[in-house]
Amino acid sequence: MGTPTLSFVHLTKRYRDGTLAVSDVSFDVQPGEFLVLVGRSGAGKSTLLRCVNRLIEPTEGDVLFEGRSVRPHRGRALRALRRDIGMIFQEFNLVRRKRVIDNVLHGRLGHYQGLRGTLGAFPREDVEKAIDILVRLGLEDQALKRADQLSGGQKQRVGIARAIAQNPKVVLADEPVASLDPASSENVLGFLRKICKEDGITAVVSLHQVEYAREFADRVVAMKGGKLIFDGSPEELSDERVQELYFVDSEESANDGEVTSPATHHASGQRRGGAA
Amino acid sequence: MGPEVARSLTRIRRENRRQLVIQLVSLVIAGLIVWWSVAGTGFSFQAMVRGVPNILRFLWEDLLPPRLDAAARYLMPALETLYMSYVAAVVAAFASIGFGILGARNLVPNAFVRYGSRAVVSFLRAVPDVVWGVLLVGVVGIGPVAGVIALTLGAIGMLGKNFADAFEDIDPGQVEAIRATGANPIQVFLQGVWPQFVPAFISWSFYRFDLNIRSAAIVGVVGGGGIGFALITNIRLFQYQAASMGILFIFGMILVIEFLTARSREAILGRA
Repeated sequence: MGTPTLSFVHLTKRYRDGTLAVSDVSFDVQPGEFLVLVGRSGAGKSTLLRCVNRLIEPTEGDVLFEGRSVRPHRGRALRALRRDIGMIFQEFNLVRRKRVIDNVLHGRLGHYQGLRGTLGAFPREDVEKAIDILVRLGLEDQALKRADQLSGGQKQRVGIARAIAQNPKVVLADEPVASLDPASSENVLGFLRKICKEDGITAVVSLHQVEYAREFADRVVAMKGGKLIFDGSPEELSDERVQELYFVDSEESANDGEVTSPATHHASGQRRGGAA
Repeated sequence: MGPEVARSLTRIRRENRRQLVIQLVSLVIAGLIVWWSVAGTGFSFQAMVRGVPNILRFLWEDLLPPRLDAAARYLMPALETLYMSYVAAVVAAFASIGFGILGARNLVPNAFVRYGSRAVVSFLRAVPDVVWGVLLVGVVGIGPVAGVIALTLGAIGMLGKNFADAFEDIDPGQVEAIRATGANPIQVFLQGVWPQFVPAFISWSFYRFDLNIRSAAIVGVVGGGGIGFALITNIRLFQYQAASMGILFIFGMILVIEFLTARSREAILGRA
């Protein structure tokens, strides 16, 4: 195998209030892989994802994107990094008062120099590209609706469209279906996987439902209390492992529902929250 | 009656007594303040009662009926008031965007800049419009220019604060999403922050335009031009029936403008 698309190298994030969100996590994501990150709320999934595109600054360790550290980037270089990494959010984070097509075109902003795109006039070829993506997601009829008029599942498909419009090499999806009903969840994850596979985009998708991980993942990584506790194929994610991941509480469970298995115990305070 | 019930009962009675004492003390304090204020202002009920016939006579004989033919002479001043209010609202709205951005915690991390901006706005707000009017009439002379500047300063005092609060209230998720696409700060502001700010911008600006009309009438009285100035001129000349026409005119204008701004605000926000 060549250079991994993403490498997490002893990644650690400690928030200013002392909570340890991500603790010494290391694993690689191969090109084109559809990797699912599972764990309870507060296991550190969101924080881990946001360290990749530096919406959150790591405390220690590093993330390598195509072999290069993401940490030294500033200003323009950081924006170029973010342009190559699409992100999908639990709460969709569409600009609600903008039309669907505008939200998709937001994915193009990182490709423009200077003031282009600031006032909402986008190049024709980009508009065509955006429409193309909407067609692939079955949303072409919604293009001129305001984002806040869509259903949850449709909103998240627009979220996917925005990320894809960036022409990204990687897509990070932070609990993309946590706000959706089961049917919409299946639909959204199906679209996400299909598009990533068709376009050869590497995906890191955090989920808290193990069933979806088993159904959609090429590979599963599990986190608990900020630590990596499982890395393997969906088949290897046995029911016992799931029990351990979700239900076995340690003596620290009193701490705001936080869980740490004895194996991953460490002295420092646990945190609630990939909150960020 | 069990011992627990008896204990609760005693507790409740004690609490009721405490409440009663607090209420009585509050009443005495309020009474003292009223007495003190009456003494300080020389207010007397007898004077007020004795004044009633005078007030009625003034209303009935001097103010009424309004001289309808005086309406024409208020037309131009009324337009002037409208211009003043509008210009002041527009200038203040745009200036306040700047103050709003600088005063918003989520947009400007630097506390000195933030408190500086909010302090300027608070100061503008602390001084009543009519006081700005008096000062500016002294500086630039009688006329609508003084009025416009006074209204603008007052409007910035109000809009600057509300805009800063509106910016702080936006959903950070939508901003984060734009940032995550690799957009530069200007793109993030105009595509992620601005659309969320628009409803507050429209609502507050229109509301302030509305308030400006009322304010303009007062500022006009102290020399700031417009219908207020025409009104005070008539009062000074003891042309009370013309003055009452002016009051009616202001009343009508405020009603009409209030109706129009409410409608256009709805239309704009419904569409945008």
